[in-house]
Amino acid sequence: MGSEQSSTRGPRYRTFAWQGVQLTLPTDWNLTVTRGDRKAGYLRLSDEYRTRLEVRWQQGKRQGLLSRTVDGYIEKLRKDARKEKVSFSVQRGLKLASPPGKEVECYRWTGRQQALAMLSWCPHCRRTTHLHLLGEPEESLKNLARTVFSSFRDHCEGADELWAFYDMRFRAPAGWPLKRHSLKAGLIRMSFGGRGRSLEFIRVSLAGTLLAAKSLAEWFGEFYGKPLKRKSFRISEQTVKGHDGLMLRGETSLFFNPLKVFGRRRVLRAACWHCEPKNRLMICALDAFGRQSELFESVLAEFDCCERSLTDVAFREKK
Amino acid sequence: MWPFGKKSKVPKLDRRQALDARPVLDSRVRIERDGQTGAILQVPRRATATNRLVCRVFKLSSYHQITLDELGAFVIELCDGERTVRQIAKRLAGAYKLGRREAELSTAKFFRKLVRRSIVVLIIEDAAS
Repeated sequence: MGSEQSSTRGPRYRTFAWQGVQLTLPTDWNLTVTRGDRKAGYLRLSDEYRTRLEVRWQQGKRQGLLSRTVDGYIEKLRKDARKEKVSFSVQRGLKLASPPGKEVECYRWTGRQQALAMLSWCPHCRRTTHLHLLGEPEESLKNLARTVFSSFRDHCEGADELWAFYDMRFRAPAGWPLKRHSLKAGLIRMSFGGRGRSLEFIRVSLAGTLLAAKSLAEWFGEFYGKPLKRKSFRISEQTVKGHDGLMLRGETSLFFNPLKVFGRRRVLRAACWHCEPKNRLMICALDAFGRQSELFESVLAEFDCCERSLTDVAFREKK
Repeated sequence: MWPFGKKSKVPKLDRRQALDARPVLDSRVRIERDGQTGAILQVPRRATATNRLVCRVFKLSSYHQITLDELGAFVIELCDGERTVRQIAKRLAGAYKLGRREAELSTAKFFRKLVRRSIVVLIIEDAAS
């Protein structure tokens, strides 16, 4: 599921993607902190023991030369090290990666910890991104940094944008910003969209426990009851992505959507399935007007839960 | 007691210390299976004068019950003072097919509650030793 075995012995890697930032990272690194939005934000990823990667981005006008930004940042770190009475050293002009179409500067600093960093400016998406790969002062990070930094992308190429974190992987339409997100243990909920449209990707863990005393349809009715209010809908049981699942199609009633009379129909389409190999319940739902609801099939096809869902897509494409 | 005396200092743990701590169940706490997959914890009430009086007046037991679900029962049975929080989270992740971080977060939150209620004690090994 988006992971690949590295050719040499060492860590396994997989794709990580959030707000357009895309990287290839070791599989045991997980998202621990996220702040901000597409314009400006911050990400932190940690392994089992410590913080391994920090990413900061800002969109907008370019603020001077990259080297000057690095100068300012290093000066701040040097001051902090002086206060803490820790020895501090910097190595500039490292050639760790050169992502195509971007201006980059790579450097290393060593203080209480070691960091290999890359500052990048993309003229296409006008984004300045600062990546910090962290480790112990004596740790060898260069090869890892090369892999991570050279895989760096800061904008999507097509009409869809990839989102990949924890074991979740899906594509959302590029113009649909992230509206809300909830990354709780056992429940991941990502909502995209804006005025009059909404796209949701939900992953619920412990499916076996949740479905021990009720059917999938009963659980779905309870869990997803709120968006179904004021809607007339039809649910059919069928195989979704190779698993037992439900497909739902609903419409807002005429009273709450009078524009329906003029052909402006608001349609809710949703799929819910039980992924047994991963013991998870997955929901993909699109609530939009008219033609936008036709996006549902393509969005659902790109929402992966396990290997079985991928083979199901491949099978469908072959057919 | 604060504000009349010194406020007792609660040691703050970093992530590594918290995950390497070994939880032990208080020896006075009893675990009872509830017949299904969960468990019931019999936890002694605090021996304060008020509690003793309330128990005597209303003829209450000196123990109160806490019902645990399937996951709670699974975790509490692994608190033997040998396994660390990290190892327990790993077992939980394996048994219920959870992600590592998911399991660590939920286990840590569960133990935080149990420690606050004095049901579990965390043994923290000194980093220097």
